[in-house]
Amino acid sequence: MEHDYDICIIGSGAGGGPVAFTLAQAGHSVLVLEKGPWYTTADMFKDEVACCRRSVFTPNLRDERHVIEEHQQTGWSAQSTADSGWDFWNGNVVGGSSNFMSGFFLRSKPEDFRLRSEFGAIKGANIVDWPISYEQLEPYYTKVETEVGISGRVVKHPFAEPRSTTDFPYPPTQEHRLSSIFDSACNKLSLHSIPTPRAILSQPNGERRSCEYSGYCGSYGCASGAKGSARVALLDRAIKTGKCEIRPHAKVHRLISDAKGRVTAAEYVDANDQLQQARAKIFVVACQAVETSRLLLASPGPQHQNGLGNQHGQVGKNLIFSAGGSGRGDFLYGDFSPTDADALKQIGPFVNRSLQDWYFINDKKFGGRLKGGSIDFLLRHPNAISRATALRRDDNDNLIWGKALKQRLKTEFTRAQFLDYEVFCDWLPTDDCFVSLDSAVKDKWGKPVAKIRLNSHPHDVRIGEYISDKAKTVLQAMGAKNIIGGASTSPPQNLMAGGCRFGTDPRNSVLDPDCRVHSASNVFVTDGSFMPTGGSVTYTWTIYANSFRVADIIQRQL
Amino acid sequence: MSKILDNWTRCYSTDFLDQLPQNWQRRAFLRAGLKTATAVALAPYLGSLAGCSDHANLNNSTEVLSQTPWPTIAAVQDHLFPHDATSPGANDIHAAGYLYQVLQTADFDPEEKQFILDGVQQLDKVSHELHHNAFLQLNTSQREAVVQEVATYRVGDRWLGALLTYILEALLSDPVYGGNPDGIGWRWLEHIPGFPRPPTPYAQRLK
Repeated sequence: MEHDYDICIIGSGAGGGPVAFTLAQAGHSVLVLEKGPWYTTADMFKDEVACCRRSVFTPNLRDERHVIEEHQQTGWSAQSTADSGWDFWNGNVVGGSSNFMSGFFLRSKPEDFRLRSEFGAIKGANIVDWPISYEQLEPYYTKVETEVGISGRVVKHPFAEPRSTTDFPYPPTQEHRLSSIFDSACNKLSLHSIPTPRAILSQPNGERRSCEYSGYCGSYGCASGAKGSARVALLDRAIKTGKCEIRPHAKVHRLISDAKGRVTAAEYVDANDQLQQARAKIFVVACQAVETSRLLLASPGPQHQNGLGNQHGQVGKNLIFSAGGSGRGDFLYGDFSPTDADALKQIGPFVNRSLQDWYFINDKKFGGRLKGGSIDFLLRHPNAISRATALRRDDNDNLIWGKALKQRLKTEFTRAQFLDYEVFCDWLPTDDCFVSLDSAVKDKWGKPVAKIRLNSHPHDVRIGEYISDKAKTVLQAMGAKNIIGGASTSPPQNLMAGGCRFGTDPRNSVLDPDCRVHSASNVFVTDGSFMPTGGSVTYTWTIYANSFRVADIIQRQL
Repeated sequence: MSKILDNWTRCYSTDFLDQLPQNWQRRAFLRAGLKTATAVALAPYLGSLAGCSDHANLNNSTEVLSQTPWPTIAAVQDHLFPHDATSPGANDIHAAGYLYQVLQTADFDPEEKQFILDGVQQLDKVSHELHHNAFLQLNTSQREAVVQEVATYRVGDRWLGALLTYILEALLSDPVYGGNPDGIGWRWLEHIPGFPRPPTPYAQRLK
C-alpha cells in the first residue's frame, strides 16, 4: 500500500507533540495536521483583548460550536454554545491549548492508577483501574521534565509520589512575597507546603529564553518561549530534524478505513477549503477529548459501522473534567508595612504553592479512607478588563455607573493583593457525561458538531467542598480577609479528558493498554482521551508522559 | 411603563440578551443563576423585524463620530463614565472611538453590533417620552432619569451593560486599540500591564 508518511498526527498539542518529536528524531516521516493557524513565539504579546476578550486563538462560535446538554428540572436540556457563549474550545493553533496553559505540573500518584482497587466502587460512577501502573509511566514523567522542561524543587512530604531522579532539571521560578507567608502559615498548621512544579523554564535552553516574569502567564501565549508548549518544546525541534511537516489550517473531517478496519487516510479541508487526503502507515488522533471522540464517531467504515473503534458503543463515553472548586482571600495593603505592601503589589514572580495533605482523606465524617485532591495557590490573574467588567454589577446583579462605578474601580484595584486557590479532585466518570454527534447542529463545513452531556457526581462536590474549606483555613492563617470559595459542579472546560478510555476489555474501553484503538491496529489516541479516571491534578504532565510512552510503542510497531 | 422599551424587548431573545456582551465571565455567572430556574425557551432572534433596526449604516469615514448616532453614544458613555478632577472620563479614554473600532472589527458579532446601534435609538425615544427632547439636549439629572428608566428593562439593562463593558475595555485595553491613550486608565488604577505589549491590534498581525 502506498503511504505519503510513516505517521500522520491529527492535532498538535500536548498529545500530538511528543509523538511527532520522538518519531521524527528516530528518522520516520511525520505529518502533523492542525486545524488552526501556526503562530510563533514572536506573535505572542500580552494583549488582553486578543487573549481573553475575543475568539482569536479559538474558532468563532458562530462557525464552530458545541451543543451542551445539562440536566434541568424538566429533564435534559440542550443549548448551543453559540447561544450560551460557554466556549469549549481551548486553543486551535499549532501547539494547541498547551500554548495557553498555566503549566502547574503535578504527577498523578500510584493510587490514581488503581482507584477502583484502592478505594472501591462508588454507586453511579464507572471507576476502573488503569491497565498500566505508575511505575510504567514514571520514566516518561521524568522524560517530560527534561524534554518539555519543568522547573521546581523536590521536597520530602508524606504524599510525594516515587521519582527516579532526585530533583527537577531546572530550579524553581522566582517567588512572590506571598510564598513565604504561605510557608509560615503551613508550618503553624502542620501542613506540608509544596513548591508547585511549573512547565516554565527558569533558565534558558536553546532558542527558548527563561521566564521573563511579566505576570501574564495563564491564558496567554508565552513571549519568551519559557512555557513548555508542545510547539516550542517539541514541534520546533521536530521540524529541525527535517522529518516532520506541520500543516496548519488542516481540519480533518474523517478517517477513512479499509475492509480490514485499518485507517488508510485522513480526509481534511485545507486552508483554501479544498478537500485533501493524507495517507500514512499509522495515524494518531490527539484533538483534545471532545473533538477526538467526535472525529472517531464521524469516521464510520466497513468494519466500523458506528464510528471508528465504536463497536461496543464506548467512543465518547466516560468524559471527565477536573472536579473541585476555587476561592480567594484579600491581603489588604493597609494591614502591612509600606515595604511589605510594595512587595505584595509586585506581579511577575509566582506564588507556586500546592497542598496535597488531603490527597487522601481520613476523616470520620466520611466513614473511611477516601480519595481527595490537591490545592494550588496562585496570584489572582492580573487581567484588568475582566476585573473591571465584573465590578460593573453589584451583588444583586444591578448595573453600577457614574461616580459609584469609578469609586468602586479605584478601591478594588488599589486596596489589596489577592491570593486565589483552585481545588483539583476526581471528576468521577458516569453514564451521563459523554460526547455524541448532534443530529441537527452542524459546523461551517456542514458536519455534525459534538454534543456534550454534562453530569457531575454528588461525591465530587462533597470532596470539593471539604478540600475547599481546608484551603480557606490556610488563607485565614495567612491573614487574608474577605475569604470566599466553594465547590463547583460546573466543569472547567480547559481540563477535559476521557471519552476513549484505555483498558484490556474492548467491551468497556476504546483503546488497548498501548492506547491503540482495539479494532483498528494502526490508530492510536494520545491526548487526554485515554484516561479512565483523571487523578487529582491538572492533566497535562500525564498527557505529555503518556504520549511519550505511546511514541515508543509506535516506534516499535513501525 | 414604557411602551418603547416593551417593544424593544420583543426584538431580542432571552438567550441573546444573556450572552451580551462578549464576556464569558459574565455568561458563566448567568449560567449559574439559570441552573435553578426553569429552562428558558429558545425564542427566535427577531432583530430583523420591521421597527427593530432602522439605524443608519456605519461607514469608514473619519467624520463618523460626528454623525448620528455617535454623538448620542458619546453622551451616554460620558454619563455612565464621567470625567472628574482625579480620574479620566469616557471622553478622556476615547470610549466612542474605541467602540466604533470594535464594531468595525471583521469578526465582531453582527447581531451584537446591531443591538448596540439599535439601543441608541431606543434610548432617544425614551428621552423624548420622558422629557420631550433628544438625549443630547438633556441636563445631567434628566439624562440620569432616562438611563435609570432604560435600566429597569432587561433589554435596556443588557444594552447599558454592553456599553459599560466597552467603556471599561477602552479604559484598560492596550492603547493600540484606540482607547486608554498613553495608558491613562492604567495609571489611574495603578495597573501594571504585561510585556511585551502588542505593536498593533490583533486583527492586523494574527491572520
